[in-house]
Amino acid sequence: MTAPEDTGPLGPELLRCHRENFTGLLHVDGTPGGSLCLRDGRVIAAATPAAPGPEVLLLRSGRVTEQEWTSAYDSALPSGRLAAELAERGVLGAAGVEALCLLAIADATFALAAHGVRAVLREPARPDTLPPPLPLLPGMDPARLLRETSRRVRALAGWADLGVTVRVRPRPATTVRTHRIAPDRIQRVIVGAVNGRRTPRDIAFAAGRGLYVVMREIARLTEEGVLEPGAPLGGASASDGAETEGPGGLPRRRRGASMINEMLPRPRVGGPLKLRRLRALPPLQPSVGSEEENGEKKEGGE
Amino acid sequence: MSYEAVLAELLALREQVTGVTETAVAAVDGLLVAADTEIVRPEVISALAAAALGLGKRTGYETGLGDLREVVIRCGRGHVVVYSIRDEGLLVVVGDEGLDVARLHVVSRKTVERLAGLLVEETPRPA
Repeated sequence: MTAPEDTGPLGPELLRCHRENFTGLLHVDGTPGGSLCLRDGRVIAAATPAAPGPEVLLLRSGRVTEQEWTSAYDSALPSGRLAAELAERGVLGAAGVEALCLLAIADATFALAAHGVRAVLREPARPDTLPPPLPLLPGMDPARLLRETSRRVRALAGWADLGVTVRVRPRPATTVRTHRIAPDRIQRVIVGAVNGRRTPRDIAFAAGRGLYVVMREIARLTEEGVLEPGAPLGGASASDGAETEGPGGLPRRRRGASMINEMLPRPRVGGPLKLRRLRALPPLQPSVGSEEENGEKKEGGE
Repeated sequence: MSYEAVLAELLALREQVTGVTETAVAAVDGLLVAADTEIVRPEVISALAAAALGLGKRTGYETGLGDLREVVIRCGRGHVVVYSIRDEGLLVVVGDEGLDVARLHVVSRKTVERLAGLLVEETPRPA
């Protein structure tokens, strides 16, 4: 059974929607939040910035080309029959669309639960409400969806011991303990995308894979010593104390501390004084990870 | 250091808004100030963002739609959003397809305010 704490207020409300045959959107308040689209009490689509949707899963994984998608999308837009259009063009069969939609819904719901659900709000469908581009019909049973989400959230809790969370930014291990001769294709993609900057969600988008699958593989690779949890963002300057804690605790610039006025030649009369000050900032330093991932986007598009 | 503070703002923006992948701050003429980039070339995106911002401002003026809020470029694989930092600078944000645009607009307003405080002219010291 679904543990209530796994999905917060989402679980009970989703079951209530099912009992009441609700049709409309269920807005999920979280960071980031998202929404579930229901028809007659069943989940037909889900969307959140925290997990790739069907379009990203198809395009970024290379299963469908940009041209095929755009062409099918443009033709299907007036009628709202994108799935049929994809099937007719031989791009993706009906079973493929259904599997993809199921995966995307389960993944988005997992992502919402993993980031924490603060509240949920119903928005009943109006006659002019646009349907989602790729609905799962007749929709996923909420009880089944919650069972699956609960299982995934429990797996996520188990990965926390490895330091693998939704916010971790993994990086290649400095010393690899074991050697894998033939890693899976998805593991190769993940290892290629990991650079200490990206969260599992970023890697999922880059690779066109589901968030849960990416996190599971990151956990495996971390356990095998191939990857390790990266330092939090801004960690390089965290030792400076409260001064560099982020927006709330930004350091105050002390006037004249940079001594830049002493270093620069006298300003020209009538010159753009403010711009000169911007130019006078210290030279650009190399950004984190900029040297590591040249060409990664190509990799992600496989 | 001012540079460190600007960079801290960019890192905080990437941390707070899902889907932000790269950011840069530049003067309004496209001259780079600081960048948190991975793939894009910081100097190039700064120059292009300056051009986009100028075009957006001019277009807004010509169409009588009021002051420019931001320039949003949406592509197949993501977004580029350019914000003006007062009249002197700009913030350019690159995000993927899943970029939380609504949250970006909320968070970036305060980021832009703080960047303005960090970037703009100080009162000249007495000679």
